[in-house]
Amino acid sequence: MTDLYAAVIPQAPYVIGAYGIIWLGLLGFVFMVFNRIGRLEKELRVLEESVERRAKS
Amino acid sequence: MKRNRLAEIMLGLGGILTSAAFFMTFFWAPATVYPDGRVDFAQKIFYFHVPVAEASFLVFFFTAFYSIRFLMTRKRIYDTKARIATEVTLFFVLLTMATGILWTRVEWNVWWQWEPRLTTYFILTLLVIAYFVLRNSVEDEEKRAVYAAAFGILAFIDAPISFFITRWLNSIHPIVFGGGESSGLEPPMLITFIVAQVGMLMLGYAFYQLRLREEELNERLEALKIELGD
Repeated sequence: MTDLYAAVIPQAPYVIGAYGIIWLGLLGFVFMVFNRIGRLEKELRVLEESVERRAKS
Repeated sequence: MKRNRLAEIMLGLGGILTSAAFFMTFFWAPATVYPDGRVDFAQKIFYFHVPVAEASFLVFFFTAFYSIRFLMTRKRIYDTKARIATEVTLFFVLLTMATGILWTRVEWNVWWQWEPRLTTYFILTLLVIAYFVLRNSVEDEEKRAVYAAAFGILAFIDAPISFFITRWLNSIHPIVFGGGESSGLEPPMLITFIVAQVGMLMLGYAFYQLRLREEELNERLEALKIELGD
């Protein structure tokens, strides 16, 4: 058990760092893209309504 | 504009599989123990480092594929698809480099080693960055697309070189599969790796499709702005 802890503890920051980077990267990518898509869809709806209104008038 | 259901399903499944692989890595797959009794905890990085690297190679293949399609047809959509594939490639390349450097620090006691795999992958990173530098430096849309397509195809040549180089040249980088008697994984390790790999490829597909949807929405928005501006 002592050997196990002796191996794990010095290496742990690097393993945590690697997984932290991966999870932050993946979640960050998804969040950013969904955020931008949501904003674009909102803008698109507003513009499409404007186009419809103009076509009717 | 229709939502891409398949991309959303792949994103969900990819998320479930990569999360499952994360727990399998730490609670199921055994740690590597060397004959002298040393426990290699940093080997746990392998389960996600290799899948992101494989995903970078595979997505980069689509850069080359769509670049060829663009040069054959001159349709703008293929240039857009190639650019988005390269963006997703860059994302995976950066994750691969970051996790690889941390693994190298533990295993080789250095942050960087100019050995064949690391060197060719570093070249790949520079090529992917150069693709965007090239795109941003050409103003004419048609020329930009042609130059980027040609560059994307040439740059992709480095991907198989980087993948196979450890089998062709002497390298200290581990060869996990097909690298002789000392290579290979125990079944729980292999299953964990496969789950992570499949999950990561699904995420890669989903990321590509989501970015493509964003691009399509952007184009539709610009078209509507022009229509309203008339």
